[in-house]
Amino acid sequence: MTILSICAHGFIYGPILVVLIYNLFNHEFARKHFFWFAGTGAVWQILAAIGGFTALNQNGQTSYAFGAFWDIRLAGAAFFELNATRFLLLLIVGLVALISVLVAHQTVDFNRSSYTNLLMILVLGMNGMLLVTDLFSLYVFLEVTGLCCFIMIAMFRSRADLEGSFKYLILSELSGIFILTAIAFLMMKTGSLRYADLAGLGQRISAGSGQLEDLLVYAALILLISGFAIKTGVVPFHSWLPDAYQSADTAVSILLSGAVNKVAGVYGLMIVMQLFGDVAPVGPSLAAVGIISIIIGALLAVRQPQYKRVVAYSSVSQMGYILLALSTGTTLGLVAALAHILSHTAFKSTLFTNAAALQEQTGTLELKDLGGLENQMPVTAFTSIIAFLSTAGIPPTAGFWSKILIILALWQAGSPVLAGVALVAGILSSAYLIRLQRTVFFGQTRPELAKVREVRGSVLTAEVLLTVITLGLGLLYPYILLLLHAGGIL
Amino acid sequence: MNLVIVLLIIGLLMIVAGCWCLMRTFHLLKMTIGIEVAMKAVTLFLVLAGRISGKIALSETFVITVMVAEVIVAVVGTGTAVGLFRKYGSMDVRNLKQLKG
Amino acid sequence: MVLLICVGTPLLGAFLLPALGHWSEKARRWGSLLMVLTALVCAAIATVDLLHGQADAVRLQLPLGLSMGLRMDALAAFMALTACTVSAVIVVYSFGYMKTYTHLNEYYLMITFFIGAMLGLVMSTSLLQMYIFWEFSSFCCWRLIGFYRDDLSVKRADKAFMVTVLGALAMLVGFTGIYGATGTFDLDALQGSQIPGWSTGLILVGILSKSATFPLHNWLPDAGVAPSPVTSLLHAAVLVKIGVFAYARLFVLTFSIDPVITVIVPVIAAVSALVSAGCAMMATDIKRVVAYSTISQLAFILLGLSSGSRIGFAGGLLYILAHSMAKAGLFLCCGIVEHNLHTKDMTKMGGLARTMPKTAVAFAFCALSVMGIPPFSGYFAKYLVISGEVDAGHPVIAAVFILGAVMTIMYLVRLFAKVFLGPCRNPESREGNGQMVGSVLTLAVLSLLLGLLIFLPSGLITLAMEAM
Repeated sequence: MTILSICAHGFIYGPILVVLIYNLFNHEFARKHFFWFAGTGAVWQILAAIGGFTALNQNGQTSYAFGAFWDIRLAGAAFFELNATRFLLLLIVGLVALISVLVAHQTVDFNRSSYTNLLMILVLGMNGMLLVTDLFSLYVFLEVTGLCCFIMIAMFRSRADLEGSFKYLILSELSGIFILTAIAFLMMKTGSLRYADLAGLGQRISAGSGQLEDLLVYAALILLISGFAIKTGVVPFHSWLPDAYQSADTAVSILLSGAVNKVAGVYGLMIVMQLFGDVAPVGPSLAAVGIISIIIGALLAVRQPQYKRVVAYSSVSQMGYILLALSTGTTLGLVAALAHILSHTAFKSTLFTNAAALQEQTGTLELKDLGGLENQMPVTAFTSIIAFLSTAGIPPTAGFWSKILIILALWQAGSPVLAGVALVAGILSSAYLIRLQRTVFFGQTRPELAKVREVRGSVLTAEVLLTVITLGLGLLYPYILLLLHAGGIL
Repeated sequence: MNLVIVLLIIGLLMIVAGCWCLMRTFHLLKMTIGIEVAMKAVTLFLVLAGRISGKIALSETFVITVMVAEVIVAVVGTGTAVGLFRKYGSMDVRNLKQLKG
Repeated sequence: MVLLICVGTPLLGAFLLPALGHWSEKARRWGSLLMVLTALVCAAIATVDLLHGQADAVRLQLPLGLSMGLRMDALAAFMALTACTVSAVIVVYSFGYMKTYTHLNEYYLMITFFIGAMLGLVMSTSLLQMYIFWEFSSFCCWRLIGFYRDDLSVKRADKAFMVTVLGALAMLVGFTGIYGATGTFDLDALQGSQIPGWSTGLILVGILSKSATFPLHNWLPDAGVAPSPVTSLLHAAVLVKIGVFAYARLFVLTFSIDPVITVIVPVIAAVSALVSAGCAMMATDIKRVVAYSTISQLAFILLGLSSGSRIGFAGGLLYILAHSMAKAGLFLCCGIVEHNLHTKDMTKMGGLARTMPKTAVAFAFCALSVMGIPPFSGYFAKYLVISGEVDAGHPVIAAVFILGAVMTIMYLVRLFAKVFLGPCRNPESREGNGQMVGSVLTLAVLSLLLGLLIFLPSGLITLAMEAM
């Protein structure tokens, strides 16, 4: 057993083990100590991602294949594979899970044990999505992820929770139907759903051939893109997203925005782009969805009355940037997309963590009831300013660098107009976030909020941790670029 | 017109029916049923795919897995619907007005 | 190394100030001043090196044609010295002015951080780095304008932020246009290269928004709600000079631009000068008058830099120096008056020369310098700018600017007369405290001395002209 294989198997077995052990204890004990179990699972994921990547790098390999339950040399057996991109996304999943646990420690109360079990299964589902090497397994794990999310949103059983969950369920199942239909159509053409067999399909088909299978492949591409776009929550498929984010408990919103819609949505589109990027309409359609999403998402965010809704629409807009980067299909584009995924995770989770802090301390997230809280909650105010700068792409934060990389990637791929529009749309991000700042933190304190205190304990830790990541990445990016250059990637 | 085309058309009709159901009904359970109908069409497509590509065994595995998945979805969907019914006393989607921007 | 200390001390040291503030009020103040003075000394050392023919530089090469670095050249040295000197005086002034407010931690942090950002900007070696520091300064501006936290301040702060960030983003699009054409952001590598016309236009939008030139000038008078040292530092002396500095750095020293720009920009500047001078004559809020005057004077600077003639360029640089000193002084004097009378409305003032004679003298000196009366430094600058424009072959524009100069004299005389002369309407007012009066007198004397010793900055200016 090498370190690499331990880490690799850990992504599958780790969450399962946590769930098994956690349920051995009696309910009261489990409820009281959920933090340690869920926290261990999340930290293990982070360590496994970092350790595994280091080991992979030292071996000089670019990818590592393994089968968790069976021998991968069996003919036709499905297997898992790890590479640098997947390690980064696994790390993000671990990080988001950790932040969610830290927040849940204060916000989740009576159903902590369900939270822990569902969180671990959710992590398992996302790990599975990231590790698999064929489209059908991807769908299965997508379904696992989705189901955990529905239950986690609805778990608190208020009217809003159930409503958000039901909307998410309907649209999410619609996307499942799209993806599965696409899978069936692709299988008609190729007879296999492995990425390796599907790659290069673009050269083998042509729309004009008149053959049924070729037409179906085109239909499959449209269905795949719309299916994953629903999961990502980009315009025009965004209607579920603000409802789900707003209604869910903040610990769950963090999971949804930080990990689920990136793994279930963006990663799926990444796979589509990787397999079918050479088919002409795929890149441009992603770019079109991306740019529309950036602008519409930001415009909608400006008028929202509730903190979490603003942040949710901001997610719609930021996902647009990631799709724009992916649509280039170049290595730089992929790097830029991953960079933006990482910085988006950091800053959006910060904004949601701030929401948790506000909700805990003031009891409301309606913007009209908040105001001038920076004297009462200095750390929350500071972290939210850093997250705001990062979202708007203002230096010296991580968001600035990832946005610059996206712009450069677009320019390199020969679409300067998109780059220009994407950049200038940054002013819209500033607009909604500056409104958020003005209504929540910046300004004179409302008398009824004068007794509010700064949040303490784990939520505060989460805020500070995320801000350190945002700022640290922002300052270290020149070094990261040098490393990527040395690694021959840029 | 061979069997493949016929089955394809039937499948597409079922998907359209499912989506129609989603759009035109305002009943939570009916919407869940709509999803299920569309899901059945997809299993049909998977069987068809196995038939065309000659990998019957593979497609059978897929179909069984999808069935399991869709049952769980149906359970969660109806569960949520029942939860909403307890809150509102009706199954009408038009009651869902808590979340607005 | 000395450059890293010069930029790093205020930029990073600023974050120590809140910690010092917890410990003691005094430590925070002196810490802030010490950091600014360190920067000033380092800039001076680097300038001396430069005059001995050895230019300091630090550089970090990154992939994709991104690069970062700091470099001292004549223009940078000139800007750095001006900015540091004025800022040091303003920091001393704020010791007296900013005593009774909350959020002082943030105030000193932002002021010091801003000075670091300014130094980083002037010494940048790449376009991207210029953008980074540019946004730092917008951010400081946003926090500082909203310092009092009332609704009006916060609204105005948001407005200033949005306008300058919009400009900066437009500029960044222009920069990426240059990147697309050449594959690099590095200023050295771009030396003398042709750039696409639309890039020039977009960068100009950025410059105009930052330097508050017509039609993007609106945020500057509104920013007067900030405390006076802030208005003075950001909106008169230093921040607004970033735009004109960028013009000099990019369009004069680096790129070879279309000659039509040397006509368009002076025309924009002329409109800006006249419109704002007109507004200054109408306004009754003393800080608004001075703010409009800033917009008008910035147009003169832009004219000098954009005229395309060497004399004009030298005049523009000298104007930056003279205007920084004098306008900072004017704002600080307004601050003393406002602090005393708790109003900014000049119709409620009169005869203050009797109760606050030192402030009146300082105000008069600074005003004379801004008007361009010999032997104050403003005179030489204004003369060179206008004669440079004549030299470049546009006597009509030069004539418009002479009209602008006459209007400057009119509104400043009106302001002085209304506030300081006439019957005494505010007998209870008295002189500001020592630190405040001391700093305005320093600035006033500097304005005069620089006029008398006009040969002092000429070494640097000649060096900068040679680089043209």
